[in-house]
Amino acid sequence: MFNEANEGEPSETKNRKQNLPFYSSVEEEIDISGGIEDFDNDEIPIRNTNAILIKNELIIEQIINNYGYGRNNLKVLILCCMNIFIIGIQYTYYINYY
Amino acid sequence: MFIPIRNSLQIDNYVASLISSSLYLGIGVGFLASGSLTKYILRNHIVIVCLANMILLNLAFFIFEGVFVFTISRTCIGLCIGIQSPMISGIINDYIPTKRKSFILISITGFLAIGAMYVIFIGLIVVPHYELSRIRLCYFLFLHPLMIVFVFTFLFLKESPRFLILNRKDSEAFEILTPYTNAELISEELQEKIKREVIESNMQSISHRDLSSIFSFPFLTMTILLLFIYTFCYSFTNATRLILSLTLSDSRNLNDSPKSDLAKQMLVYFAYLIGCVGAGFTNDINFLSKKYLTAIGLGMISIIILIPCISQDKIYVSIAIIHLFLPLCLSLINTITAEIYPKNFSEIANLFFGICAKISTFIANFIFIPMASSDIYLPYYIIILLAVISTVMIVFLPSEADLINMGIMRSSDSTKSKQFGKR
Repeated sequence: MFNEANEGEPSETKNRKQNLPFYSSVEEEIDISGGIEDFDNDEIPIRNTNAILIKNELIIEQIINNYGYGRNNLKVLILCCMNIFIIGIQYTYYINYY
Repeated sequence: MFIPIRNSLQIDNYVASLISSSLYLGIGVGFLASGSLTKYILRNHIVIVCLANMILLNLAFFIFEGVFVFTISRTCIGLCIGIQSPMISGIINDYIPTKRKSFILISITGFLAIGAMYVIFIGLIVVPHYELSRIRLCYFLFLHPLMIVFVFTFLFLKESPRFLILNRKDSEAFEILTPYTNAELISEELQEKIKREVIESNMQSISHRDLSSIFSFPFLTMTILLLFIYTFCYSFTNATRLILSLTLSDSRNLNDSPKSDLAKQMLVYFAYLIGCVGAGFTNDINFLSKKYLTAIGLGMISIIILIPCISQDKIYVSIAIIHLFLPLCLSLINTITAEIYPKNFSEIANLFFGICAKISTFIANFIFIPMASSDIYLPYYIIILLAVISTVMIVFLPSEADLINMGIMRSSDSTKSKQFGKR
């Protein structure tokens, strides 16, 4: 999956690349340090499956952050808390002393 | 409700431990199945079906009673909880803003403790002296919040737009997004752009992933092994709640006030609630500090747990302290998996370790109760040993420097890289 070292590279670099996980292989080509807003999605090179995966994750993240349904989540938060409360009852009522 | 139900069903501690363990077995299997289900059914629909099943199973026990029905009911409820929990955390994970995600995800698990406190209150009010005649009223009172939550969930819980986009249901996603945002921002032009960039790219790489994929990184084998041993060991402490019930049961004097037992139980769950909020705040401190904080916490557990060996009356204090650190122990796994895997892989990894934790608790419940019957301190000695092993495992987990050497983190800006991983 990660064996995409370029031809002509020094063997040390090549070996390192062969052992590197996906983060490094992408980071070498995409500077993510400034956040996802700083680069154009069209410029992301698609070198392998993991790069595609990260590209898609970033685009979706961008949609969510830019169009901000995350700021209107109280209803979902309350519903999820209610569900966890129910799990708490069902999970513990048998093992509680009372 | 352990004592009233045990008395009501006329079962001994051994059978009680078996039924108790079956819940955890169900949860483990449920966790395992939950990943596959999301390929075919939307998560909010799965949550609704699980809640409906829980209502039916509770009703079945309410109507028929009996050991067999109770065992089946507990196992299947465990299955529903196992399926429902990842769905809930997945939905909330998609909705909350990135910068508060970790804090909220850990803190809201405190609602488990609030649910447990509700159970204790109902027990105190309805069966303060274990009146068998009113036990069925308890079952009903546990059932009615379930029905209320089912109705609210059915009416208002929507699938997250992110999940819908990932599953190529973009029109439904925009339907949900519309009320939340300026309609102009999700114009047809934008929809076309998203279709072109997101949906037409190779989304199958995201959706087709299973449990085995987390083992596909050879350089993480040792980390996964250490985390597995750590999870397996610390999860044994989950069984302490049941041991506390047994201990209270054995040490109970007829003249004791039910309120004193209530306070002891409340203390344990209150400690858990505080632990959840505290663990949420530890997300702001760096990875290594958290690692060693957990190690110290586990070390403290193993020391303080010795208290019951000195005085049996203080067992509940040691168990409360264990519960204070349990959420921190759990969040450590989430932190590490978020560091070493991208988002979709880390969710699967969390699921895997969640399954390990439940199987471990299943084994603990199964063996500790018969063990406690012969010697009440024996389970505690085992937990001390396992807490020490967990502490050692944490020390051997990879540090930030190791992660940089492996190429997982960048030495120049590990913080930003970490945030990237947490997405």
